[in-house]
Amino acid sequence: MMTILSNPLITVAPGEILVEMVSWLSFVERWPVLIQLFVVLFVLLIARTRSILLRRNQRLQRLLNRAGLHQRFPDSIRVLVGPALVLLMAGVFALLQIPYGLLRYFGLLWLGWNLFTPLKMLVEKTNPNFPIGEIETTLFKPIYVFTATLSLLSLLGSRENLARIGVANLFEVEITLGKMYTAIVAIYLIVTIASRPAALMAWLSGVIFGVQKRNQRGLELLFRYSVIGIGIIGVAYYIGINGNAFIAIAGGLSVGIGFGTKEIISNFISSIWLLFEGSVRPGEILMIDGDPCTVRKLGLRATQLRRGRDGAELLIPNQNFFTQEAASYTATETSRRDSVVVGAAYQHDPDRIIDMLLEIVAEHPKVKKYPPAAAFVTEFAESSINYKLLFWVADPLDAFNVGSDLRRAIWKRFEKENITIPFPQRQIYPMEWPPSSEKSLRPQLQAEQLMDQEAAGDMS
Amino acid sequence: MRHQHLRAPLIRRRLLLLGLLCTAGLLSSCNSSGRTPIRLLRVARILPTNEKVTPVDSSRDRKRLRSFQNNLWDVVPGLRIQPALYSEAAFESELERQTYSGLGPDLVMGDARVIHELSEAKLLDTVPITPEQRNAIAPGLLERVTNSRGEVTGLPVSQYIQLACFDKRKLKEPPATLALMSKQSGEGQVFGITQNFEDLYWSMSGYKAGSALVSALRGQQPTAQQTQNLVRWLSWLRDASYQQNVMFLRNQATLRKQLIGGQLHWISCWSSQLPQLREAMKDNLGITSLPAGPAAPATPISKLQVWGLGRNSSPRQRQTAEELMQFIVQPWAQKTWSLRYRTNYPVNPAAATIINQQIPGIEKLYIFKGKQEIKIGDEIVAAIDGNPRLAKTIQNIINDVIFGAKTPAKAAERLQAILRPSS
Repeated sequence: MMTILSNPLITVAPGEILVEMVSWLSFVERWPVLIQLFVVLFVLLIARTRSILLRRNQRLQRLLNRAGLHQRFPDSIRVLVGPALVLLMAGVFALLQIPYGLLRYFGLLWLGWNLFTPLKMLVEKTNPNFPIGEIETTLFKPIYVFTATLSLLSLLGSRENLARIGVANLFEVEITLGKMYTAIVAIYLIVTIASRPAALMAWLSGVIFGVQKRNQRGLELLFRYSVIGIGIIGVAYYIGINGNAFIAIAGGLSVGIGFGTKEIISNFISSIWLLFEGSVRPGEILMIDGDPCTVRKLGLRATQLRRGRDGAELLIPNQNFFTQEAASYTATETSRRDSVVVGAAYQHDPDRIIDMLLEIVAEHPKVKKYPPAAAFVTEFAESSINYKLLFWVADPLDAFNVGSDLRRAIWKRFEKENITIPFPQRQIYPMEWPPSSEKSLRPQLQAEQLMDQEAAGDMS
Repeated sequence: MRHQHLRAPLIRRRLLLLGLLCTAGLLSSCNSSGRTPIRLLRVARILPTNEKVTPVDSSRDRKRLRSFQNNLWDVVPGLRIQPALYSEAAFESELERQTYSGLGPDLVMGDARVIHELSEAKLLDTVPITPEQRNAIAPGLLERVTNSRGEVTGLPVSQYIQLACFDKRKLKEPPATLALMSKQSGEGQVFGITQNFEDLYWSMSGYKAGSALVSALRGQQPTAQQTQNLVRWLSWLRDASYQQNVMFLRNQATLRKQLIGGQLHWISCWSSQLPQLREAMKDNLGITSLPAGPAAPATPISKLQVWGLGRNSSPRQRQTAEELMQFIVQPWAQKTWSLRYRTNYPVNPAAATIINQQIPGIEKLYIFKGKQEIKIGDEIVAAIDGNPRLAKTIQNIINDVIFGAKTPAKAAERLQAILRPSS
């Protein structure tokens, strides 16, 4: 029965568990047990077929609707009928002095499970902001399943027995099934719940030490990893893995890191480092390949960013931030400088244009007063004098919008002040090859004739 | 789309059929695998102490029961025993839930007192004692498991007795009397005793001090001699605690740990705990009877191991359990198990005689000697077990004497006062 893995430090012996489970078959010999199971299965089957039939059979639905049953009892009440029936049967069994505990157990189990929906609805009604759905799936339901399993095992008389069965030997530490179960539950709870105390600690750090909101999120992550780390070490100590075993595990891991898990560990260490350094924190804005991106989440392996341009979610391995450069608009200074280039016709006085541009930029609410905006003459171009307007915005993600606003405002103002924005114009003449001199040159000849007429008109 | 709708229930029905066939196959294979059908008995074992059950205890117990079951295959063919170990603190509520669900054990093995309690709580059926069984068991022991209605609550199978365990390397000659013990402790030998009243009863019987308590329990006025005996015992207790090398420790587990660790050279121990000591000390473990007092030999309380019948067994399971019970009290079985495991003493007088001769060191054991003292012990234990508050008060008085907070005379007076029925 005993399977010994190749590593002598770890042995696994699941045989006793099988023996214990096979021994449950002896209960099937007892008729009170059989009757109870039969009743539970019967009620379950009816409830199940009824719901399937209702879903499929429209005639039945209509019939039920006519009877008004559905209107009278909402769905949240109707789901309680099955469990109530089982519990009622348990009561009858108790009166008849037939063992009824299994009926009671399954009835209560079913009732508890079905109560989740009405309770959820109640909470949603009273406090719509409370994340009850998430808490239900990540916390309440798993806890319910853990407890129900333990309760069933104790009902079967096997809980203590199973708990004490040694299933594995890890570095000369006997690990029993009970300890393993507790460890899994504890780790699950620690990982799921760790965010709450971490958020509280981060919030407290804000209240007491005045830590900035952006830094608080980084702190929260750090706290969370610390809580998980301490929790896992605590669980390991509870199991009985002592310092020596830790060293052995660390030794094994270091070999593992050398080969397979290098990337993962490197990313993880990078994430911790980034948090300490504070260069990449949730809420910050980084330029990735020339696009501003907001850091959404600093994960264990990768950082999740949202690209401002198209809203795409980017997942960038943490170690990239170590090996590649990323321009940060928020590391020390959060504001960003952007520019708008515009051309005006040669006949307008550049001083006037520059004053006008500065007036326009000063009117925009999102442009920072300090550092002040500036406008320059940059070029005497072919058809226009080019100007560059430089301005600062507080939020780098706003730069694009502000630029657009400014261009619109400039156009409108130029229109109002009769300032031309010149642009090269192109005339297109259709040509013929080989040219038939009369046809292909006609437009030009016409144009020349027209010019001659105009000149003659002017002169006269 | 409609075709798919029709197919889904068909597949489900096929799966259901397959599941049913598998279950049926599994069940029938249980009945017919091999030549003899397997007869599985679920057994709840309640440990005689309040100590925590460790995985090592559990696996040792499982191994022992498995070897026991294999040895029994000639008598009860196809027998399989699936044990579950409980400590005394948890068993009653657990057993109640199981029994009311129809999932209770077929056999419950435990202390006479525990089995009696379970029977009173209607969690066990009474045992129909056959004439053969009646002949095989010492009548005094059967009396201990008979309730007020004359029904036998459980079948006595063996007895755990209190002994003296010592380290042969440190103590060459274990003390035969309390006086010798005190002398040896003066010479540097370290003795360990628990403060627990029930575990101290052996020293009380050496002074014949129990009769004073029983008189008080029965509502009679103890004679001056009886009271004097009680005071003398309490004085011994106080004097022993004043000695440098006599340690009074809280529980049996600490005593064992310190004997194994070498801090103690001699302890009072229960035969049920011998496997742990043997595992740790091998041949260095010495076993002997407890030292006699000035008035009488030591008569410790024996813990009678009793098998009770669970209420949920199917007729076949009940029949198997009864077959096993019929066999277990016969002289051969009694002798064999006592000699093999050397943790319990037989209930069959014929087997007891053989054991007395065969195991060196316990030939002077007292099971059928000093009947009067055993009865007194049982009466006191029964009174204490039925009243936890009384047990606590008695323990506090004993602790006060040990730590010198109360004089023996005062303590004797107080003990008698609280044991009187009116109080």
